[in-house]
Amino acid sequence: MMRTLLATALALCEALAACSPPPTQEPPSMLALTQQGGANAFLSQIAEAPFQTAYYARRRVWQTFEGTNGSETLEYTERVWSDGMGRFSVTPEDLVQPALAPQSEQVFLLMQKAREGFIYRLRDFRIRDLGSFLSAYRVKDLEEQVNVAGKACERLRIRAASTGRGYWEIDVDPTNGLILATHEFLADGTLVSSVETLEFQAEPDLSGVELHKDLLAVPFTESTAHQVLGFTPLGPNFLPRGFSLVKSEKISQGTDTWARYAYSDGAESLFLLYREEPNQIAPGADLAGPYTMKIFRAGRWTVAQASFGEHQIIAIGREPASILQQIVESCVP
Amino acid sequence: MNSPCRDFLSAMLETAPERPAAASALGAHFASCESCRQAFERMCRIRPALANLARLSAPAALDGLVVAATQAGQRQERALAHLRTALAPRKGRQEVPAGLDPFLGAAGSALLSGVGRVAAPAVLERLVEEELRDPQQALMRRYVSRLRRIDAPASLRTRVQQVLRAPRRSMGRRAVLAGAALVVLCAAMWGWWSLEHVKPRPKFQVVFVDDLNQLDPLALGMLAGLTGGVSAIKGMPR
Repeated sequence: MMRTLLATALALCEALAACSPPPTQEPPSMLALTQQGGANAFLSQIAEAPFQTAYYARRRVWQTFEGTNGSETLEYTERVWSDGMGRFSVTPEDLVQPALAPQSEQVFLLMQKAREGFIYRLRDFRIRDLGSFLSAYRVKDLEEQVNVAGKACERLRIRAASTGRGYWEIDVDPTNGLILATHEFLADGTLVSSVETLEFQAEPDLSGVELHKDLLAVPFTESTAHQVLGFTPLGPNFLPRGFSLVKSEKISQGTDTWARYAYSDGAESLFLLYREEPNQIAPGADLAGPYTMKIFRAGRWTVAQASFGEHQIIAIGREPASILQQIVESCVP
Repeated sequence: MNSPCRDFLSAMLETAPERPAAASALGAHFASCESCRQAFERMCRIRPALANLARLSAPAALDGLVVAATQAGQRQERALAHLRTALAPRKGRQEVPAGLDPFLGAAGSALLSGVGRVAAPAVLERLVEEELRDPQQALMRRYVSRLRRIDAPASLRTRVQQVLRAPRRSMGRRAVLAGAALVVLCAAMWGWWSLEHVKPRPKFQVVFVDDLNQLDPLALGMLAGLTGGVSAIKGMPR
């Protein structure tokens, strides 16, 4: 029934798209889901399903990255539980590759468990804000019905409206909106990562499952920043097109207090971390610098880290290094 | 008439119509020169005729014209001297000639003495002075004042009224200009102040780093979660 409804909605969108001028970056069959109420409801369901659907899944995670010896692969399995009320658990199971020393493998799996909050919320493709997503992305129905973990799914292609970036293909269970498989490709079609559900169970027994507990994070606004943080954080005057502030909160790392800003364009995420270190100013130091901005890359993510005077600023995102550099530089008062 | 005859011409004019003595030089010349003798005879006939012609007086204006043509400057000076004498204080004036009373008679003298002396108006002296100082300008002024006055066209009145109303707008315009000038001045002062008080902007040297351990621990932990473990696996022993 749901599948029939989805097909009808997408077909209607397709018809609307055929009536409108052809898009510049997609073939004529590109769906204009942003203009269709039914399709929007379905996309909204996709955005909310991970937190409003109770389920269990065993997943295989596969990624390629540039290691010290060239292209390497990270592959492991994990088990995921969601209570349908916003709480979840991600437990790493087996590391398939690379082959690590036994102790290192155990450390890796333990650390993966500690990072389950980031993994569940941010590692995989998600529609984080439907309004921003509809402005920044285009959705195409590939008209492929695929079976994932015994569930019939519809395959959709998600591509940024701007050119030069990669795209995702997601397999969606139309009955609940859950994404049971995600494949990420470079712009040239090279597969760079996938998360595929191997086993699926709706309404699982959660007894004995330790759900994730978020670390203490205190939200603040521009007016309450100084009161919450104890300092006035610097913020960026420049953001990539389509990104807007999602939340700002105070987090603690040991004795250090950080301001963490989270930005999103509806699907991608971008973070800015700021901290003050009043004792870092050397007497007579030239405030004009020069200072060093360190750029790190890991997989599809990039980090720009800089400190000048008492200010420490870190930008993390999947944008190009030059963009992150501009973001950090725009924080300078 | 040859050269000796020309020498006797003036003597002939002085002598005619008297006849020269035969022993005189002119008489001797007549004896030997027939043409001079005939010329002398014509002089003797013409001279009495001319003497009998009625005398005509020279035109009154001739004297002035001759003087003006030959000595114009002297004439103006004389006229000015005369005017100065005439306009001089009363005690400097010449008295009436002694023979005037008999000529006018008792009644005439009494009549004249009864007439009060009228002094020339003060402005007259100034006007005369100006006219004598620059006759051309005085003449021009006199003739300009005699030109026929022409009424201004009606459109001129309209334009004048518009101009008279203009000050209200021009005041506003001036206020706008003054305001704009003030804004420019303030902007310039603000720019100067900004340049004076601008903080030095940090210059960043970008370095690409492979060692993730140089990352802040908070960022390192976040990155490991965001990448699904990729950043964590990179530094682990195989």
